[in-house]
Amino acid sequence: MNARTMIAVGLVAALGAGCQKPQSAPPPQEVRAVQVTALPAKADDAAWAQAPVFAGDLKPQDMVEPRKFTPGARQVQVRALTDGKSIGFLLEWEDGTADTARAPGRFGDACAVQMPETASPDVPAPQMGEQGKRVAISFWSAALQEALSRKGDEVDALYPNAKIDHYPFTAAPLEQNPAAREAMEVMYSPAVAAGNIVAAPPTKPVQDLVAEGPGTLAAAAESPSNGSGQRTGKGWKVMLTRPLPKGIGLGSHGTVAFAVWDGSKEDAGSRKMWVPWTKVAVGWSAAASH
Amino acid sequence: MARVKNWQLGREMSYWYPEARPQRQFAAVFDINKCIACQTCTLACKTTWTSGRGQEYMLWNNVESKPYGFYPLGWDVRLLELLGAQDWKDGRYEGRTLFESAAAGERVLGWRPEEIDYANPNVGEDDCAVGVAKGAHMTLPHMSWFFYLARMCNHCTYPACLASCPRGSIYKRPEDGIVLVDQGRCRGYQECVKGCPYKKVFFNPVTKTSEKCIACYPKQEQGLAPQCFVNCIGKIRMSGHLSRPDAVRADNPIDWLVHVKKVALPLFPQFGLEPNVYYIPPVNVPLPFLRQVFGPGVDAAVQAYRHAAEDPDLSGLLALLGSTELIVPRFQRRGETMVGLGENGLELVRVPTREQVHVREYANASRNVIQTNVP
Amino acid sequence: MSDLSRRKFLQGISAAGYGAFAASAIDTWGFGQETQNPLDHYPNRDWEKVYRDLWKYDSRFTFLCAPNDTHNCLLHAYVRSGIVTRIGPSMKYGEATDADGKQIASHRWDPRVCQKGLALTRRFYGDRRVRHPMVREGWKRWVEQGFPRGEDGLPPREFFNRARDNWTRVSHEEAAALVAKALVNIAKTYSGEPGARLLEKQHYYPETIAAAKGAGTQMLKFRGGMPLLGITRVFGHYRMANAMALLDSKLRGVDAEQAIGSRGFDNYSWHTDLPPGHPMVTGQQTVEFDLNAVEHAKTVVVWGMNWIATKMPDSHWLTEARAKGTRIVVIACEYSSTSSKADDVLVVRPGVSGALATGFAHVVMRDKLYDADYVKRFTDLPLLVRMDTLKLLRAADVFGGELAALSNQTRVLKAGEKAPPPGLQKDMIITEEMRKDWGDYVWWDAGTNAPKAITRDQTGAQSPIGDPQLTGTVEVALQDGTKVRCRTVYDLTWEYVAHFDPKTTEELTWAPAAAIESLARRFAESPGTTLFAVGMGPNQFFNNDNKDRSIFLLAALTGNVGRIGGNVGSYAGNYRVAMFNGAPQYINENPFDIELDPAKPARPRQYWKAESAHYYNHEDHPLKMGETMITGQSHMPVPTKSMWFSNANSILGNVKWHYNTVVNVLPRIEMIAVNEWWWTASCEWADVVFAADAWSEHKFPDMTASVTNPFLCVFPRTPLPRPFDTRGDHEILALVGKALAAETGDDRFAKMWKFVDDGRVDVYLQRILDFSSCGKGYEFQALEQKAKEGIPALMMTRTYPKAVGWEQTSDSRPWFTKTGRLEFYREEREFIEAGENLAVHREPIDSTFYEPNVIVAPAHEALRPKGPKDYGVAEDDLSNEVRQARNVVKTWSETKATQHPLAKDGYRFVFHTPKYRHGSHTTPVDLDVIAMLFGPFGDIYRHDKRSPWVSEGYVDIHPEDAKGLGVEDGDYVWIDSDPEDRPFRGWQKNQKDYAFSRLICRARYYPGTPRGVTRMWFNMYAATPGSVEGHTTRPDGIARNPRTNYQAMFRSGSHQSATRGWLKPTWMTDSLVRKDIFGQTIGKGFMPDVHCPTGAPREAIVKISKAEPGGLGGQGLWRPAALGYRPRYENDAMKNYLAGGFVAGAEAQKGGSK
Repeated sequence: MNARTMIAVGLVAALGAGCQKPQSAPPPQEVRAVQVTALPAKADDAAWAQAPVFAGDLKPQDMVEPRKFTPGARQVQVRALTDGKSIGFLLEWEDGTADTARAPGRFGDACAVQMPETASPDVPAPQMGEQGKRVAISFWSAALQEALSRKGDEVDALYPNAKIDHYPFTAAPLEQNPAAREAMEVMYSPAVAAGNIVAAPPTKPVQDLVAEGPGTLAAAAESPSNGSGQRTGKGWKVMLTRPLPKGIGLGSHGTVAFAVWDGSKEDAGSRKMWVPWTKVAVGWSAAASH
Repeated sequence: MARVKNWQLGREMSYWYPEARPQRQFAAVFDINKCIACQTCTLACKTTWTSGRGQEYMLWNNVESKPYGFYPLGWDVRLLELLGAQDWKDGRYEGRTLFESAAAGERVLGWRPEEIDYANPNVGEDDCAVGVAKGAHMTLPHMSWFFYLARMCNHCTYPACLASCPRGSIYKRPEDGIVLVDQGRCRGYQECVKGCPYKKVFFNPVTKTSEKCIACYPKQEQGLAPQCFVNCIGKIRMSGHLSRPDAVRADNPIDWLVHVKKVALPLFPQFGLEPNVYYIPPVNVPLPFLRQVFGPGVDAAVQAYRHAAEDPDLSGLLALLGSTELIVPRFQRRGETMVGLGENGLELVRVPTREQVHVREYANASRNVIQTNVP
Repeated sequence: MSDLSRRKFLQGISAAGYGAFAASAIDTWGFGQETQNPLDHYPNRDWEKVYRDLWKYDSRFTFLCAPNDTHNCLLHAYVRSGIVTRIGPSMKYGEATDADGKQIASHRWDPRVCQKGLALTRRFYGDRRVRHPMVREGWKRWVEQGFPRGEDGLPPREFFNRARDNWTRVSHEEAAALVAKALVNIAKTYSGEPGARLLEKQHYYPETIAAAKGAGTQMLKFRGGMPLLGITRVFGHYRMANAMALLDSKLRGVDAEQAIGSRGFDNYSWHTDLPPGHPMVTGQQTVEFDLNAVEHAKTVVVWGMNWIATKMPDSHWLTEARAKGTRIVVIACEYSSTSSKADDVLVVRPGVSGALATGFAHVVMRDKLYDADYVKRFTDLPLLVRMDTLKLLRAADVFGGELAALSNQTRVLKAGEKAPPPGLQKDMIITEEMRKDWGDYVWWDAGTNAPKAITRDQTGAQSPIGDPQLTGTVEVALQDGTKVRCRTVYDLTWEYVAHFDPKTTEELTWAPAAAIESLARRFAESPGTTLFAVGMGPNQFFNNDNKDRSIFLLAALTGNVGRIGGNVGSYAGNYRVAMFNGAPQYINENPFDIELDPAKPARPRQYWKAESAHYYNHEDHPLKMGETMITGQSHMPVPTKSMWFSNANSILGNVKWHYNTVVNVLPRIEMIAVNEWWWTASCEWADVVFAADAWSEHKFPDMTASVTNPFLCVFPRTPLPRPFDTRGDHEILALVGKALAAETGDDRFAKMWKFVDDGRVDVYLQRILDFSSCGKGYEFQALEQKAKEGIPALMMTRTYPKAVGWEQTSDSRPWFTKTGRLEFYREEREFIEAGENLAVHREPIDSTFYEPNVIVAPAHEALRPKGPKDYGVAEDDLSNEVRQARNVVKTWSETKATQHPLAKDGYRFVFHTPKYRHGSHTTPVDLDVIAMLFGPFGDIYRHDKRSPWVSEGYVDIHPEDAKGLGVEDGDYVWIDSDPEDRPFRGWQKNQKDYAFSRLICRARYYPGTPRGVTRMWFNMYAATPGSVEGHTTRPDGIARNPRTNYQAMFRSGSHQSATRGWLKPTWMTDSLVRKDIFGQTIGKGFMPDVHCPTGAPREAIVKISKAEPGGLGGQGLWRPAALGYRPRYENDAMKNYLAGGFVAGAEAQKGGSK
């Protein structure tokens, strides 16, 4: 595939975003992260209300194969708060179905916030960054959140009538040897044995990922992001928090991009609706802007 | 898209990546006329590789009864319907491959099964086309028919799963052409599940990654045939490596059956993947159906097989199949004996083409008993 | 199920050597490489070690998998962390050697394994594993309360709530003590006159009470299921039955001379595997050949045998022979999996194989295509039959004089002379009395136009018959001056066969006349090159002996008996325990004279008696017609008061007429004990379940062999620690022996098992080998060492491949019959009265559209059966009991005008229950990975909770028949058979038991079966009260007994809901001459597994009615049909696919003709 053309397109989009003049009339053309002493822990925390809404136009990802063809939600409403060290986003979008399971032919709802790993004048290509210009991504997944609240594994959840006779690691003699039993259970889960982050039983509904271009998405060395989501009448309301990128602090401007996936439309990977680079004013206050 | 050579189609075709053939290509021959649908291959694979959580439904190897058997449901019919009727002309494929039929923004023409399509993995077992109403006498080809199709990953020369993966996490091993999904890097987008026309990549809902046949590379690295070959009691399978048409070795059993005798044919060559599992077509089945499934080589292959008795190399090789757990890179017929040889010419296995008759004396003096068939 | 914890996940990472994988991934992967070509390069392949690790194992051992399928596979078990995680073939059958050190069998015998064997890990560790001994609570109370009984001797009902009661875990010793107490009490209760009085009060037939001769021990029935499959472990039950003579001696105070042991049930005949006509023609058990023989035949007729599905590891012999030019002809009542491998496919009506064989014979005889030399040398066809008595003409009556002295491999025992042990016998052995009784015979020399005498010596090369008159009538002057009209067996046979011209045969059998003509010619074309492999199908009909006699007639006429490439074989079950004809050393060791010196042989004496289990299956009584007892005295059963069996689900859990047996027969049985390692339906209905070792856990070796391959296989001891509280079958017997010793104070009960206690069962095994003609010369310990490596030995039979009849045909050794020839005429009273002195065709007794069980024949001088009136029974009485001995002759044109008595009530479908690839009988069909592939309804995740398990029983029905019933593909249907007695007698007034007995199952549109013929596979587990309780109360709907975990594969009922026990008079004669089971001695009348009832489990005519729609949760169509991928529901794409419409121009390259 041709990475060069993709990157070119990305740059155009990025410049576009960079040249935009802030309009005084709402809705704002930038994300405005209001300074607070502490970031809220829940998506329905009243504190979010103090942040102005940025209405991001969602576009089908059509730069990289496989592309998205069936458009999903058209808009994502974004609010942002910051305590000077971390930044939190509240994303709201419409999605008629709650898709919380991932199974053969079934996909989950999700959303993500992407920022350059390090602030720099020339932002990385918006579609997953580019070589040498890494982007950091906080990825929330309805399936991860569902898994956290569930007892038993996906097989139990997906197939309530199923009863499996036997797994090698459930053989009775292993009951006396938990260590061997666990090692064998790992052995029979290749992705787990291979240390694949997607196979990890979640401790939170959010993953920290990095990328330097399409197809390069990988787990970040650290996982500081957090978040949680909930159903609204019309769709999802999800909060994501993460540390501010290196070089971004109160009063400065950063860049952020958003993406949402609709499981019922078989969205996954590059099949997504997204908002390219958008300016984010860190520590914006209504008073300061007048 | 690049232009690559697909000898099964007798022409060039477009593919997502440029042509790059491995040093050796794992390949296999299945004699459908010997397949008994016992599912021992299926269980040999399952009990070895897919006994974990989330893999319960997964059959990297399965056997289905054609024409009414499918795993997953309707896998080939649904794709043929998407692709539409296509043409062969003088052995050259005139139609469009799955890569050439891909919609804009897609890499391959494909479809993705629902999870319930994997239920009833032996639907259609022994169901025949046409059927019988009362008494009947049939000779070849049968007016009422079915056949068993044992299926594993074809470890294609141009894999659609590999082309479909947006993360480039599926690759072909240069040393043997085995196609693998990197279990450390897959993110479970299921693009490969959609892209593989043979539906031999499976999503594991517990690990959230896609998994597929690994051709038992840990065994092959030790010179052993894969599990579904060693455990094949119908003795329909021979594993080995296939040379390119321009570098055929007549003493390589796979080369001989595929390139020399031309009795073994690819499954749905028109899809354009250059699959590397080759089938000896079933002689009881009417030719129009077989041509659709195995391509234009079918008529000649069926004729050759029906006259196997006149070709001691062919009937002898069919008797050698599955008599050793070792990979047999070379073979040699010595009169009534078939010998399997290693690359170095050392003998690996030897069997008579016809099992001997041995008669013991009636009264055995040393044991002071009669040696009887009616004790 | 529990999820992996984060800790385990990280453990996994380190286990795979991927510390800090996530962090390093970026660098090792290297961003920017996504544009490279994964066809030729991949940056980081370290992860591949994940699968290499999964392939590794800590250790490996060998065990023998030997369900009753004849294959006997030495399998490697691969151990990881102490668990058998996977199984594979040994690949070493090609290294087998015989007792002379010769390597004869090639590696083409490898691999020997199947999917069921590979799945066994789940049966070793699964949740239906019998993990410790269990006793039913009610029965335990009955024993502990001192066996309370009513005045008729029967225990109070409250103690016998079988299959609904709770179970208690006990130790092996406690279980053994309870069983010993019960055996003693039951034997005591029914001993002597007082015992006989009680049995009369319980309404047993007086003949059966008398047969016990006052010994209460006779009422105790033992069965080691298929003892060939465990020549000491399983056969040990008969050794126990023999030891019970000690108990009789104590209870009745009789000495060793008068003592009587217990009864042992039959096996091969019980399973309807014995082809009962084989001894009627050949005088011995069965003719068969090892399956590799097909490579030496020009034509192989696979007749009612689904070789591809039931002889799986030996199917390649058939397909490989075909590739070498052998013509494969498959005769079946469907287009079977084997038909798909055939050059000629013949689809016929079920249960008419005899008529079809007769139709073939018609062409051969009509056109004089028969092998005249073979007919003259090896058959009784030239012999004369008296038309006055219908007996064979005796030489003494014609020529007077003494009987000829027999010298051809035959020895006549003078009175009082003893025969050597079976395995050391060489000549055939006949008593002087029998020799006199048989006499010599007469044929008519056409050359001299005079009668000539012939003895049973004069067969094969020694046959004097040159130019016999075969047809027409001759007048023979007897010594006493009278003249008697005689006809040859050939002439009488042809008069019968003439009735079955191709057109008539086509009408009767559905086989096209043209095919009958052409195939008959093919068989006759080159004598000795056609193998007839006859399967279980034809054998499971009531007319099975008629079928054998007719097929042998065809085979003999075409010179195809007793040759490597030309023979008859019967393929059902495993048998010929005589391959270990030294077995009496073990089973019949004299309990009053036990040999405790390991170096010395035993001194056998048989105290136990064999009995056909079919009487137990026939509501525990023999067959009467009117007031006439039909069952022969030598067969006479005794009442069944106790059953203890091992290695057998067929005797109870999957018994024919199962629901009648459990509802109406079991209540009269006071103890049912089972040795098992998997909780079967037999365990459900038992009182005591001993927890036995699985094959992988044997700590005591054993030995077996097969009738379809040449291998002598040892069950080696394994190093795997027992995962549960189980014991070997040997030990369980020894424990009960000790308990009996304690109970009776007779230590000999314990001594019988000394070498078990010493861990030296090899002593018993070596004794058996030393006295076996096929095993002598082998050292057991050496055989076991080889077995541990996965290498079997070879049976020392005459030929490789085995071919019964080879010695008769090549060595002129007479057959084990009166005439020494293949006999197609039966002169004995029972056969004449049955109208079966000739090989006739009887319509099936239930599976027919016409009047059941009629003899289809022309008016024939030699057919003078005893009809219903002669028995004082109404001519039109077709009730099931009467039907069995109903000898009514009708021509075909008369027969075809009749109909089955239930046809008018909608019972219009023949329902047959063959065996399939997914189970060896019922082993191990209920394992999830096996069941999910068993048929079209397998679904590992059970989307439809109505399904009793991950798969379920179904009936295959022709789509047009189903449409006629308003049944859609995948619907649930009710299947009902004769309301007179199925599913059980008295169901109309017993809804409680009817609730689990009536059969409901899925219906599958199956185009491969003819109209009117339906099929349900035999292998699935039946519903029990507990499984129905689970199905109706568990949230997931699984049909599993909440108290036992028993897993049914039917919502209610089973394939046995439609079957019943049947007894045929010709199976029960006192006069048929036949070789004993062991050795070369010839006797007459009953012999277990040789001349013995077989039942007819494939006989059922049924009514089918829709129960529920097949769609998910009972809504609409079953999904595959709704989507258009099923027969008769095809969507447009599917139609195009079937026609091959998705490619054009592909024939451009075709070679040869279409």
